[in-house]
Amino acid sequence: MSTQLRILFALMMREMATRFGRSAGGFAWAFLEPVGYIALLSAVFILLSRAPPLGHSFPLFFAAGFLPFFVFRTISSVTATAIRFNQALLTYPSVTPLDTALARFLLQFLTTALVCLTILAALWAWEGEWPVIRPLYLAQAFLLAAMLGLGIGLLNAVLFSFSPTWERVYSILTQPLFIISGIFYLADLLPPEVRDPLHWNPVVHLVALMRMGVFAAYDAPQADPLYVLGIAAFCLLPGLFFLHAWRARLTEQ
Amino acid sequence: MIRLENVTKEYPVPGGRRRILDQVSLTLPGDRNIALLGRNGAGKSTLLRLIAGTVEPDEGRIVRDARISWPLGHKGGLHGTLTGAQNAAFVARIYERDPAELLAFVEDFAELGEYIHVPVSRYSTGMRGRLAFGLSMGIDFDTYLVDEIIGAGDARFRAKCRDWLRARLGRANLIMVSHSPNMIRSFCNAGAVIEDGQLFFYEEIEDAIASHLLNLDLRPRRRRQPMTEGAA
Repeated sequence: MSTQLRILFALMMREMATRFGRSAGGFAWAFLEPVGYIALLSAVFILLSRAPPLGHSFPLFFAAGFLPFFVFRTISSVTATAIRFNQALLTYPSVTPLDTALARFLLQFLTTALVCLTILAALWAWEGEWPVIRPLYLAQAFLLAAMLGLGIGLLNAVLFSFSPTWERVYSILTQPLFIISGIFYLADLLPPEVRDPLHWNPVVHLVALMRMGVFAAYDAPQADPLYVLGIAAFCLLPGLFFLHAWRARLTEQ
Repeated sequence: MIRLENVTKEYPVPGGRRRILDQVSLTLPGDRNIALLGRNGAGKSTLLRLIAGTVEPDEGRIVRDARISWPLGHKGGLHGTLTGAQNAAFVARIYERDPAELLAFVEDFAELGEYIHVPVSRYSTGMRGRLAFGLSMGIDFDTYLVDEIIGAGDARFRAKCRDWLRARLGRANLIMVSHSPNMIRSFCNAGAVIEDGQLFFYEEIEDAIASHLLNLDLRPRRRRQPMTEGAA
C-alpha cells in the first residue's frame, strides 16, 4: 500500500511539474477557464433579461450551473487521457496504468475543489451579504460530479487505448453537453416533453443538486443523486476491472 | 535470484501468436551475470521485460527477491515534457531515493550541463541515453537488465558506461541480451538459452554460447527449408 501511495505521489508531482510548473499561467488557467465562461454567460444574459431564474446575481446563477459541469468534464477528460500522457513512465515496473489515471484524478479533484470554493467565495463576498446555502448539497454535488468524472474517465482510459474511433465518437457525442445540461436555464421549467428526456443526462442532475446547495430556497424534485451514483458506479467498476486486468496490454501499447 | 514458476507467455505475431515460453520453471541465480541467448524472435527481449515485471506471464508466476532495474536499452522511461531534472526527481521518488542526491549524481554522470533543466523532448538520442543510463547507475539495483545496449553517446562515454557497470557488478549482477560475443564474454559468466518455448540455464557461459550456436546451426528457420523435404 505504501508503495502505491509513493507512486501516486510521484505521479502527482510529475503532473504538477508539467501542468502548473512551466509558468505562473499554468495554475491561473485552471481558474481562468471557468471564470471566463461564467463572465461571458453573465454578460450575455444581463442584456437579455432583468433577473436570473434564481437569486438576483447572474454570475452566481451561472457559477452554480457551470461548476459541476466543469468538475465532471475536466476530471473525466484528464483521467481518460492519463495512460497516453504517461506512456513513457510505464517503463518502470512499479508504475501501472491505473496509477497514472488515479494520480491525475486526485490532482484534478483537488484543483477543481479549490477552483469551486474560490469562485463561490469570491461571488458571495461580492454579493456583500451572508449567503443562505445548504453546504451538504454543495458537497454532494461536487463529490457526485467527481465520481461521475472518475467513472467515465477510467472506462474511457481503457476504451480510448483500444479504439481511437470511440475517442472521436465520444468527443462528438459530448459536444452538446454544455447546451443540454441546464447550465444557463432551469431544466425543470421546460415543458415535460423536453424536460423528461433531458433528465437521462446525469449532468442535469448534478447542476440541479448544485443549485439546491447554492440557493437554499430552490428545490428540484427530479434531481436524483442515486441516478448519478448509479451511472458513475456502472462505468467505474468495469473501468477499474479492465485497467487492472489488462494492465500488461495497456503498458505494452 | 529470479524464479520462473510454470511460466507461459505468448505474444501476437502477424498471422497468429507465438509461444515464447511454454510452462517454463527455472531459477536464475542472483550471483551470476547471465547472458540471454536465442535466435531472432525467440523472445529474449520479452523475457527480459517479464523479469522486470513490465510484461506479465499468461500463466504461472515470477518470484523476485532482488531490486531489479527496468530494462536498459533503446527506449528509456523518460517523459518528453519533463526536464532531465524532473525525470530524475520522478525516478528518485518511485525508487525511494532522495531526489536531490539522485539529481546531483546524474548531473555529474550524464554531463548534460544546462540541458538537465530543458525538456527531454529537446534532447538528442545520445543525451537521452546518457540520462537514462545515469539514472540506472544512480539507483543501486541488485540486478541490472540490459537489452543490447550498454551506455550511449560517443565512444568515450560508452566506455565510461561500461566501466561503471563493470564496477557495479562487484555488488550487483546482470542479465543481458546481446548479439555481440565480445560483449557477452566480457560481462557474463553464465548463460540462458531460449529456444522453442524452452529456457535452459548453463553454469558456464561457453556452454551457453556453444548450445546457442548449435541451435542456429541444426535448426534453421522452417521457412528456409526446401518445400520438398517431406517427400525426399
